[in-house]
Amino acid sequence: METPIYVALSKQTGMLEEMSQVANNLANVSTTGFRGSHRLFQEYLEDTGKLPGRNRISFAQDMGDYHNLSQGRLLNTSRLYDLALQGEGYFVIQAPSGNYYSRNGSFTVDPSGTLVSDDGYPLLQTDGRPIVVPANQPFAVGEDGAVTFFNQATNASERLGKIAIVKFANSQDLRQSGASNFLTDQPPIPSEATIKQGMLEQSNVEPVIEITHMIALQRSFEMINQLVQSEHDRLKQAIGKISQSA
Amino acid sequence: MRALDIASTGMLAQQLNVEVIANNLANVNTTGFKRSHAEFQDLLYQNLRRVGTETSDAGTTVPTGIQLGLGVKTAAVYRIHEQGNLQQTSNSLDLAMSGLGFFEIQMPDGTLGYSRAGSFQLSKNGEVVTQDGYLVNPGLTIPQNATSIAVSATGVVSATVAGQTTPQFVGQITVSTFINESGLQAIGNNLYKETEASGTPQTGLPGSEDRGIVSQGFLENSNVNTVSEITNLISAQRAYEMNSRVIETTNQMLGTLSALR
Repeated sequence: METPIYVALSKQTGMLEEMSQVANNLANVSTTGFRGSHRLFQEYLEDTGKLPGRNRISFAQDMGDYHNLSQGRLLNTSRLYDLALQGEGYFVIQAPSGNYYSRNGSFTVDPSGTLVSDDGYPLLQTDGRPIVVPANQPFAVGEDGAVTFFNQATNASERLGKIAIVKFANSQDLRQSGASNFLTDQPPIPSEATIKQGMLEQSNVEPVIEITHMIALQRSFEMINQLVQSEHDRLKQAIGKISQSA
Repeated sequence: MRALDIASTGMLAQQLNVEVIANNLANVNTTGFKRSHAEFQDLLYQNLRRVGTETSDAGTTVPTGIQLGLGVKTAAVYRIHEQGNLQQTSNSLDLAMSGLGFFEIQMPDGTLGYSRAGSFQLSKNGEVVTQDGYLVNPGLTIPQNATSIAVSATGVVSATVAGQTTPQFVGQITVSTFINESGLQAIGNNLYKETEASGTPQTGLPGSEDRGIVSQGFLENSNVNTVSEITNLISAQRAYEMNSRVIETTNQMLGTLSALR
């Protein structure tokens, strides 16, 4: 008897999750390297028990997250340590708890000259070691990740290493850890994405799409509320009428 | 309601339009810059009632049907290669093309890049290079004690050396034209690269066939027309506003719907 209310409830809890996803996307509209995500819903069919296979009730089930993998805008900062990835690929950062992958290219140097991310963890090369750059001297990062610097003393160009750019077989199977960082159990594959030095990749969230989505969600929620409200009234009436005639 | 998604495609398209206009206006003083234009197309249509289907056994057909459009998409952002105005600088290495044709630049990776920006300089070896230090094809080296450099309208470069009256021949600049100039890929730094769509470069002497001539001491200004860009900006802004009105109205209509009892 209360099935309509449960069906409505299934969608409403899903919608609350989706709303918080939209809020997360909008909050990160200017976070470097952020990739938006949306929730996916699927139909969950439940037998009513009367005749198996017929008259099934459809509930909404929250299936999972879908990451938006489109390229974010490139912002020109002209800063030596800012790197932007163009194409499908991630930087590899070595954290104490294991490697994580990120599109956030705003790096700095720590006192020992190692190139580190915003939270102080080193950026890794293709051979797994961190990169050390000379202090106070300009260095160049090529499109394929090769780091070189012009040594004034020897008057020659020296190669410091090659930054690792990786991708994964299943590009959606990534767990988000922090705003622009991802964790996964899949083995990394070399990626053909290119690096642009002096630029930063902005968030790929499109505010227009998120706001429209938010409006649609809000109105959907209101309409389901109506359903719950009228169900509530119907039950109240039924209980009232039946208890009167008793 | 479909109107929400349709209006959001409209807003996204106008957003892109403004970005193209912003790039044009930012480059209003860039030598040899060619303005871009965003071209939009309507998105596919949903056939709620297909045109031309038979309505009866007598063979009568639906004359117009119901076709619902789903919004707008960006079809292309292409460059308009109109000749820019020539500005006199009286700098002997400032060259401007009058007419069709690009200067050929030797890129560091060995391929050829093409440019309309003729603001060249001398490298430490006396070679004629661009502002990034890339050599101008076919490689021109000005002798060290040259007092003046002359570039003719057909691209003949000659230098007058101290102590000699007749100028020395240094080299011949060749220019390239393309069948589809808009198909060139812009790689920044005032440079273009050949693509499948642009066709192969037709290289030759300036002034021959359809190629333009070289003017020494002049620079080609950007061909951005600020008045028409500002007008386009205004109409893009209003189109954005109008699409946002559609979203607001749809929102109110949905509100009315959900308030029904």
